[in-house]
Amino acid sequence: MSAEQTEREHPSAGVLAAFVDGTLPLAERAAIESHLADCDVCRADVISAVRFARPRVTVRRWYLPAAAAAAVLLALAIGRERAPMVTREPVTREPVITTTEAPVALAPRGVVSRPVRLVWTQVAFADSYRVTLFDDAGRAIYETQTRDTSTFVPDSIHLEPREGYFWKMEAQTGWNRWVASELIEFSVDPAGR
Amino acid sequence: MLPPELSALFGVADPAARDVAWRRFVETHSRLVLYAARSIDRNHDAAMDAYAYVLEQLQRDDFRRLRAYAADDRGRFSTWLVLVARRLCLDQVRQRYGRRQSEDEQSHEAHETRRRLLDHVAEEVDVATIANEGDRDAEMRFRVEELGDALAQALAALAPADRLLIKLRFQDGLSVPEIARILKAPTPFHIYRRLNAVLAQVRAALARRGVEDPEP
Repeated sequence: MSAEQTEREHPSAGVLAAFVDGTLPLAERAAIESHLADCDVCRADVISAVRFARPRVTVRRWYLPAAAAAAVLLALAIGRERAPMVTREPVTREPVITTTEAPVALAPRGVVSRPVRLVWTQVAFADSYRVTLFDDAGRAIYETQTRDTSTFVPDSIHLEPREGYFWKMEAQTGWNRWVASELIEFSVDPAGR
Repeated sequence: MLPPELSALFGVADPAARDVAWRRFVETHSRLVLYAARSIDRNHDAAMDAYAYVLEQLQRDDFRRLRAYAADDRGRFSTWLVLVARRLCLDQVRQRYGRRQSEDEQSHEAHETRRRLLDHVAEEVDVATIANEGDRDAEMRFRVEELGDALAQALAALAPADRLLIKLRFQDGLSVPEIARILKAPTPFHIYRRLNAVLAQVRAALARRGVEDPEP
Protein backbone atom coordinates (compact mmCIF):
# COMPACT_ATOMS: atom_id res chain seq x y z
CA MET A 1 0.00 0.00 0.00
CA SER A 2 1.31 3.41 -0.90
CA ALA A 3 1.22 6.60 1.13
CA GLU A 4 -1.46 7.91 -1.25
CA GLN A 5 -3.70 4.92 -0.55
CA THR A 6 -3.12 5.31 3.17
CA GLU A 7 -4.21 8.88 2.99
CA ARG A 8 -7.40 7.98 1.11
CA GLU A 9 -8.47 5.46 3.74
CA HIS A 10 -7.56 7.56 6.77
CA PRO A 11 -7.91 11.28 7.47
CA SER A 12 -5.19 13.26 5.73
CA ALA A 13 -2.09 14.31 7.65
CA GLY A 14 -3.36 17.90 7.39
CA VAL A 15 -6.64 17.04 9.10
CA LEU A 16 -4.94 14.99 11.84
CA ALA A 17 -2.40 17.77 12.41
CA ALA A 18 -5.26 20.25 12.82
CA PHE A 19 -6.91 17.81 15.26
CA VAL A 20 -3.71 17.54 17.32
CA ASP A 21 -3.13 21.30 17.30
CA GLY A 22 -6.75 22.06 18.20
CA THR A 23 -7.47 24.08 15.06
CA LEU A 24 -10.05 21.69 13.63
CA PRO A 25 -13.67 22.90 13.82
CA LEU A 26 -15.77 21.17 16.47
CA ALA A 27 -17.93 19.22 14.02
CA GLU A 28 -14.88 17.81 12.25
CA ARG A 29 -13.27 16.98 15.61
CA ALA A 30 -16.20 14.70 16.44
CA ALA A 31 -15.78 12.83 13.14
CA ILE A 32 -12.06 12.37 13.77
CA GLU A 33 -12.66 11.16 17.34
CA SER A 34 -15.08 8.64 15.90
CA HIS A 35 -12.44 7.44 13.45
CA LEU A 36 -9.74 7.30 16.12
CA ALA A 37 -11.93 5.15 18.35
CA ASP A 38 -11.61 2.30 15.86
CA CYS A 39 -8.37 3.03 14.05
CA ASP A 40 -5.24 1.94 15.92
CA VAL A 41 -2.98 3.31 13.18
CA CYS A 42 -4.30 6.86 13.28
CA ARG A 43 -4.48 6.80 17.07
CA ALA A 44 -0.81 5.86 17.21
CA ASP A 45 -0.07 8.71 14.77
CA VAL A 46 -1.93 11.20 16.94
CA ILE A 47 -0.23 10.00 20.13
CA SER A 48 3.16 10.29 18.47
CA ALA A 49 2.45 13.82 17.25
CA VAL A 50 1.18 14.91 20.66
CA ARG A 51 4.21 13.42 22.40
CA PHE A 52 6.57 15.10 19.96
CA ALA A 53 4.98 18.43 20.77
CA ARG A 54 5.51 17.64 24.48
CA PRO A 55 8.85 15.79 24.47
CA ARG A 56 9.17 15.74 28.26
CA VAL A 57 6.11 13.62 28.72
CA THR A 58 7.22 10.17 29.86
CA VAL A 59 7.08 7.70 27.02
CA ARG A 60 4.98 4.79 28.14
CA ARG A 61 5.21 1.25 26.85
CA TRP A 62 2.62 -0.08 24.49
CA TYR A 63 0.37 -2.79 25.81
CA LEU A 64 -0.88 -5.84 24.02
CA PRO A 65 -4.65 -6.00 23.42
CA ALA A 66 -4.91 -8.81 26.01
CA ALA A 67 -3.16 -6.65 28.56
CA ALA A 68 -5.48 -3.79 27.67
CA ALA A 69 -8.51 -5.98 28.27
CA ALA A 70 -7.05 -7.06 31.62
CA ALA A 71 -6.43 -3.44 32.56
CA VAL A 72 -10.02 -2.46 31.79
CA LEU A 73 -11.32 -5.41 33.81
CA LEU A 74 -9.03 -4.52 36.68
CA ALA A 75 -10.23 -0.92 36.65
CA LEU A 76 -13.80 -2.15 36.64
CA ALA A 77 -13.06 -4.49 39.53
CA ILE A 78 -11.25 -1.92 41.62
CA GLY A 79 -13.98 0.57 41.07
CA ARG A 80 -13.72 4.21 40.29
CA GLU A 81 -10.79 5.64 38.43
CA ARG A 82 -9.35 7.83 41.13
CA ALA A 83 -8.01 11.27 40.47
CA PRO A 84 -4.69 11.87 42.21
CA MET A 85 -4.72 13.75 45.51
CA VAL A 86 -3.57 16.83 43.66
CA THR A 87 -6.08 17.41 40.90
CA ARG A 88 -4.05 20.09 39.27
CA GLU A 89 -2.16 18.98 36.15
CA PRO A 90 1.39 17.95 37.07
CA VAL A 91 3.99 20.39 35.93
CA THR A 92 6.07 18.67 33.27
CA ARG A 93 7.86 21.69 31.91
CA GLU A 94 8.61 25.25 32.76
CA PRO A 95 5.90 27.69 31.72
CA VAL A 96 6.51 29.38 28.41
CA ILE A 97 8.10 32.77 28.84
CA THR A 98 6.22 35.28 26.78
CA THR A 99 5.95 39.02 26.72
CA THR A 100 2.35 38.83 25.54
CA GLU A 101 -0.18 39.48 28.25
CA ALA A 102 -2.76 36.74 28.65
CA PRO A 103 -6.38 37.70 28.07
CA VAL A 104 -8.68 37.81 31.08
CA ALA A 105 -12.11 36.22 30.88
CA LEU A 106 -14.41 38.84 32.42
CA ALA A 107 -17.88 37.31 32.15
CA PRO A 108 -19.70 35.04 32.72
CA ARG A 109 -18.41 33.89 36.09
CA GLY A 110 -20.49 32.16 38.75
CA VAL A 111 -24.24 32.08 38.22
CA VAL A 112 -25.53 34.11 35.27
CA SER A 113 -28.76 34.77 33.41
CA ARG A 114 -29.56 34.09 29.80
CA PRO A 115 -28.59 35.09 27.19
CA VAL A 116 -25.03 34.24 28.07
CA ARG A 117 -22.61 36.86 26.83
CA LEU A 118 -18.90 36.01 26.94
CA VAL A 119 -16.64 39.01 27.50
CA TRP A 120 -12.87 39.21 27.77
CA THR A 121 -10.09 41.78 27.78
CA GLN A 122 -8.39 42.94 24.64
CA VAL A 123 -4.89 41.63 23.93
CA ALA A 124 -2.37 43.85 22.17
CA PHE A 125 -1.59 42.72 18.61
CA ALA A 126 -4.22 39.97 18.72
CA ASP A 127 -6.02 39.76 15.40
CA SER A 128 -8.44 37.00 16.36
CA TYR A 129 -9.96 35.41 19.47
CA ARG A 130 -11.10 31.81 19.79
CA VAL A 131 -13.69 31.00 22.43
CA THR A 132 -14.40 27.45 23.59
CA LEU A 133 -17.23 26.38 25.85
CA PHE A 134 -17.06 23.05 27.69
CA ASP A 135 -19.73 21.09 29.48
CA ASP A 136 -19.32 19.61 32.94
CA ALA A 137 -17.68 16.49 31.53
CA GLY A 138 -15.09 18.55 29.70
CA ARG A 139 -16.53 18.08 26.23
CA ALA A 140 -16.22 21.09 23.97
CA ILE A 141 -19.81 22.04 23.09
CA TYR A 142 -19.26 25.33 21.32
CA GLU A 143 -16.38 27.05 19.65
CA THR A 144 -16.22 30.24 17.70
CA GLN A 145 -13.65 32.66 16.42
CA THR A 146 -14.12 36.42 16.38
CA ARG A 147 -12.23 39.69 16.10
CA ASP A 148 -14.38 41.25 18.81
CA THR A 149 -13.87 40.96 22.58
CA SER A 150 -17.31 39.56 23.29
CA THR A 151 -19.75 37.10 21.83
CA PHE A 152 -23.08 35.52 22.74
CA VAL A 153 -23.60 31.79 23.18
CA PRO A 154 -26.19 31.04 20.47
CA ASP A 155 -29.63 29.72 21.43
CA SER A 156 -28.85 26.49 19.56
CA ILE A 157 -26.43 25.62 22.39
CA HIS A 158 -28.69 24.42 25.16
CA LEU A 159 -27.31 25.27 28.59
CA GLU A 160 -28.96 23.34 31.40
CA PRO A 161 -29.76 25.43 34.48
CA ARG A 162 -27.55 24.60 37.50
CA GLU A 163 -25.15 22.51 35.38
CA GLY A 164 -21.53 23.62 35.54
CA TYR A 165 -19.96 24.94 32.33
CA PHE A 166 -16.43 26.11 31.63
CA TRP A 167 -15.10 28.52 29.09
CA LYS A 168 -11.81 29.91 27.99
CA MET A 169 -10.63 32.11 25.22
CA GLU A 170 -7.42 32.25 23.26
CA ALA A 171 -6.00 35.27 21.50
CA GLN A 172 -4.04 34.78 18.30
CA THR A 173 -0.95 36.93 18.54
CA GLY A 174 0.94 35.59 15.54
CA TRP A 175 1.14 32.72 13.13
CA ASN A 176 0.19 29.63 15.14
CA ARG A 177 0.73 31.59 18.35
CA TRP A 178 -2.09 31.66 20.83
CA VAL A 179 -2.23 32.93 24.36
CA ALA A 180 -5.04 31.55 26.52
CA SER A 181 -7.08 32.84 29.42
CA GLU A 182 -7.71 30.81 32.54
CA LEU A 183 -10.59 28.37 32.50
CA ILE A 184 -13.66 29.94 34.07
CA GLU A 185 -16.65 28.10 35.50
CA PHE A 186 -20.22 29.37 35.34
CA SER A 187 -23.76 28.08 35.50
CA VAL A 188 -27.09 29.41 34.28
CA ASP A 189 -29.57 30.76 36.80
CA PRO A 190 -32.77 28.67 36.56
CA ALA A 191 -34.84 31.69 37.64
CA GLY A 192 -33.25 34.02 35.09
CA ARG A 193 -34.64 34.17 31.61
CA MET B 1 1.87 31.03 6.08
CA LEU B 2 4.72 28.62 5.37
CA PRO B 3 7.62 28.16 7.78
CA PRO B 4 10.73 29.94 6.43
CA GLU B 5 12.73 26.77 5.71
CA LEU B 6 9.87 25.59 3.48
CA SER B 7 9.43 28.90 1.70
CA ALA B 8 13.16 28.92 1.01
CA LEU B 9 12.91 25.46 -0.49
CA PHE B 10 10.05 26.29 -2.83
CA GLY B 11 11.22 29.73 -3.73
CA VAL B 12 14.51 28.90 -5.47
CA ALA B 13 15.05 27.60 -8.98
CA ASP B 14 18.84 27.43 -8.95
CA PRO B 15 19.90 23.82 -8.15
CA ALA B 16 22.82 24.90 -5.96
CA ALA B 17 20.65 27.26 -3.91
CA ARG B 18 18.03 24.56 -3.66
CA ASP B 19 20.62 22.12 -2.28
CA VAL B 20 21.52 24.66 0.37
CA ALA B 21 17.84 25.15 1.24
CA TRP B 22 17.33 21.39 1.43
CA ARG B 23 20.34 20.97 3.74
CA ARG B 24 18.88 23.65 5.95
CA PHE B 25 15.53 21.91 5.96
CA VAL B 26 17.18 18.60 6.93
CA GLU B 27 19.18 20.28 9.71
CA THR B 28 16.02 21.88 11.06
CA HIS B 29 13.88 18.76 11.00
CA SER B 30 16.30 15.86 11.47
CA ARG B 31 15.31 15.40 15.10
CA LEU B 32 11.64 15.25 14.15
CA VAL B 33 12.14 12.72 11.34
CA LEU B 34 14.32 10.55 13.60
CA TYR B 35 11.68 10.72 16.30
CA ALA B 36 9.04 9.53 13.79
CA ALA B 37 11.32 6.73 12.54
CA ARG B 38 12.05 5.55 16.08
CA SER B 39 8.38 5.61 16.96
CA ILE B 40 7.88 2.90 14.33
CA ASP B 41 11.00 0.83 15.05
CA ARG B 42 13.35 1.34 17.99
CA ASN B 43 16.10 -0.71 16.35
CA HIS B 44 18.86 1.77 15.48
CA ASP B 45 19.62 0.45 11.98
CA ALA B 46 15.95 0.15 11.05
CA ALA B 47 15.29 3.68 12.32
CA MET B 48 18.21 5.09 10.32
CA ASP B 49 16.97 3.27 7.20
CA ALA B 50 13.52 4.74 7.72
CA TYR B 51 15.02 8.20 8.32
CA ALA B 52 16.86 8.05 4.98
CA TYR B 53 13.72 6.75 3.26
CA VAL B 54 11.58 9.59 4.62
CA LEU B 55 14.05 12.25 3.48
CA GLU B 56 14.26 10.64 0.04
CA GLN B 57 10.46 10.60 -0.26
CA LEU B 58 10.11 14.20 0.91
CA GLN B 59 12.62 15.33 -1.68
CA ARG B 60 11.05 13.30 -4.48
CA ASP B 61 9.10 14.84 -7.40
CA ASP B 62 10.16 18.37 -6.60
CA PHE B 63 9.09 18.11 -2.92
CA ARG B 64 5.58 17.00 -3.89
CA ARG B 65 4.71 15.87 -0.35
CA LEU B 66 6.02 19.01 1.28
CA ARG B 67 4.04 21.09 -1.18
CA ALA B 68 0.91 19.27 0.03
CA TYR B 69 1.36 21.05 3.37
CA ALA B 70 1.19 24.40 1.61
CA ALA B 71 -2.25 23.38 0.33
CA ASP B 72 -3.53 22.32 3.75
CA ASP B 73 -1.71 24.12 6.55
CA ARG B 74 -4.41 24.07 9.23
CA GLY B 75 -2.06 22.47 11.75
CA ARG B 76 1.50 23.32 12.72
CA PHE B 77 4.13 22.20 10.21
CA SER B 78 6.00 20.13 12.82
CA THR B 79 2.81 18.24 13.75
CA TRP B 80 2.04 17.62 10.10
CA LEU B 81 5.58 16.44 9.40
CA VAL B 82 5.54 13.92 12.29
CA LEU B 83 2.36 12.42 10.85
CA VAL B 84 3.66 12.30 7.27
CA ALA B 85 7.04 10.89 8.36
CA ARG B 86 5.33 8.15 10.39
CA ARG B 87 3.14 7.20 7.45
CA LEU B 88 6.15 7.06 5.15
CA CYS B 89 7.99 4.86 7.67
CA LEU B 90 5.00 2.51 7.78
CA ASP B 91 4.96 2.45 3.97
CA GLN B 92 8.59 1.44 3.99
CA VAL B 93 7.92 -1.37 6.48
CA ARG B 94 5.03 -2.60 4.32
CA GLN B 95 7.08 -2.48 1.15
CA ARG B 96 9.83 -4.43 2.78
CA TYR B 97 7.94 -6.94 4.86
CA GLY B 98 4.45 -6.99 3.39
CA ARG B 99 1.18 -5.76 4.79
CA ARG B 100 -0.42 -7.43 7.78
CA GLN B 101 -3.57 -9.16 6.60
CA SER B 102 -5.24 -9.06 10.00
CA GLU B 103 -4.44 -7.99 13.51
CA ASP B 104 -4.87 -11.40 15.10
CA GLU B 105 -1.96 -12.81 17.02
CA GLN B 106 -1.33 -15.60 14.54
CA SER B 107 -0.81 -13.38 11.52
CA HIS B 108 1.11 -10.93 13.67
CA GLU B 109 3.45 -13.69 14.76
CA ALA B 110 3.78 -14.90 11.18
CA HIS B 111 4.58 -11.37 10.12
CA GLU B 112 7.16 -10.98 12.85
CA THR B 113 8.68 -14.32 11.96
CA ARG B 114 8.93 -13.33 8.30
CA ARG B 115 10.45 -10.08 9.36
CA ARG B 116 13.05 -11.81 11.51
CA LEU B 117 13.97 -14.10 8.67
CA LEU B 118 14.26 -11.24 6.20
CA ASP B 119 16.42 -9.27 8.51
CA HIS B 120 18.73 -12.24 9.09
CA VAL B 121 18.91 -11.39 12.74
CA ALA B 122 22.24 -12.51 14.06
CA GLU B 123 21.02 -14.04 17.27
CA GLU B 124 19.24 -17.36 17.31
CA VAL B 125 15.54 -17.43 18.06
CA ASP B 126 15.26 -18.40 21.70
CA VAL B 127 13.57 -21.78 21.88
CA ALA B 128 12.19 -20.89 25.30
CA THR B 129 10.11 -18.11 23.76
CA ILE B 130 8.25 -20.50 21.48
CA ALA B 131 4.75 -20.61 22.84
CA ASN B 132 3.84 -22.99 25.62
CA GLU B 133 0.16 -22.61 24.86
CA GLY B 134 -0.35 -26.36 24.89
CA ASP B 135 0.10 -26.36 28.66
CA ARG B 136 -2.82 -24.06 29.28
CA ASP B 137 -5.94 -25.50 30.61
CA ALA B 138 -8.54 -25.63 27.82
CA GLU B 139 -11.41 -24.63 30.07
CA MET B 140 -9.53 -21.63 31.42
CA ARG B 141 -8.72 -20.57 27.87
CA PHE B 142 -12.38 -20.82 26.94
CA ARG B 143 -13.38 -18.66 29.92
CA VAL B 144 -10.75 -16.09 29.11
CA GLU B 145 -12.07 -15.92 25.55
CA GLU B 146 -15.63 -15.63 26.82
CA LEU B 147 -14.66 -12.79 29.11
CA GLY B 148 -12.76 -11.09 26.28
CA ASP B 149 -15.80 -11.39 24.01
CA ALA B 150 -18.09 -9.89 26.65
CA LEU B 151 -15.71 -6.99 27.11
CA ALA B 152 -15.31 -6.45 23.36
CA GLN B 153 -19.11 -6.32 22.97
CA ALA B 154 -19.48 -3.90 25.87
CA LEU B 155 -16.83 -1.63 24.34
CA ALA B 156 -18.38 -1.86 20.87
CA ALA B 157 -21.70 -0.67 22.31
CA LEU B 158 -20.14 2.54 23.64
CA ALA B 159 -20.38 5.86 21.83
CA PRO B 160 -17.24 6.36 19.66
CA ALA B 161 -15.98 9.22 21.84
CA ASP B 162 -16.27 7.06 24.96
CA ARG B 163 -14.63 4.10 23.23
CA LEU B 164 -11.78 6.37 22.22
CA LEU B 165 -11.35 7.43 25.84
CA ILE B 166 -11.16 3.82 27.04
CA LYS B 167 -8.72 2.86 24.28
CA LEU B 168 -6.42 5.79 24.97
CA ARG B 169 -6.37 4.94 28.67
CA PHE B 170 -6.23 1.15 28.70
CA GLN B 171 -5.05 0.01 25.28
CA ASP B 172 -2.55 2.77 24.60
CA GLY B 173 -1.64 3.28 28.27
CA LEU B 174 -1.77 7.09 28.15
CA SER B 175 -1.79 9.14 31.32
CA VAL B 176 -4.90 11.18 32.05
CA PRO B 177 -3.12 14.52 31.42
CA GLU B 178 -1.98 13.20 28.03
CA ILE B 179 -5.55 12.19 27.18
CA ALA B 180 -6.77 15.61 28.27
CA ARG B 181 -4.31 17.18 25.84
CA ILE B 182 -5.42 14.97 22.95
CA LEU B 183 -9.14 15.44 23.58
CA LYS B 184 -8.67 19.12 24.43
CA ALA B 185 -10.42 18.70 27.79
CA PRO B 186 -10.12 21.78 29.98
CA THR B 187 -8.46 19.83 32.82
CA PRO B 188 -7.38 16.23 33.53
CA PHE B 189 -10.06 16.17 36.20
CA HIS B 190 -12.69 16.24 33.46
CA ILE B 191 -11.15 13.12 31.95
CA TYR B 192 -11.29 11.34 35.33
CA ARG B 193 -14.97 12.15 35.56
CA ARG B 194 -15.69 10.96 32.04
CA LEU B 195 -13.66 7.78 32.62
CA ASN B 196 -15.62 6.99 35.76
CA ALA B 197 -18.89 7.44 33.91
CA VAL B 198 -17.80 5.28 30.97
CA LEU B 199 -16.37 2.56 33.22
CA ALA B 200 -19.65 2.47 35.10
CA GLN B 201 -21.40 1.99 31.76
CA VAL B 202 -19.08 -0.87 30.80
CA ARG B 203 -19.46 -2.43 34.26
CA ALA B 204 -23.24 -2.36 33.91
CA ALA B 205 -23.07 -3.89 30.43
CA LEU B 206 -20.85 -6.71 31.72
CA ALA B 207 -23.13 -7.28 34.71
CA ARG B 208 -26.07 -7.68 32.33
CA ARG B 209 -24.08 -10.47 30.65
CA GLY B 210 -23.45 -12.10 34.00
CA VAL B 211 -19.85 -10.94 34.36
CA GLU B 212 -19.24 -9.61 37.87
CA ASP B 213 -15.66 -10.67 38.42
CA PRO B 214 -12.51 -9.88 36.39
CA GLU B 215 -11.15 -13.38 37.17
CA PRO B 216 -11.95 -15.82 34.35
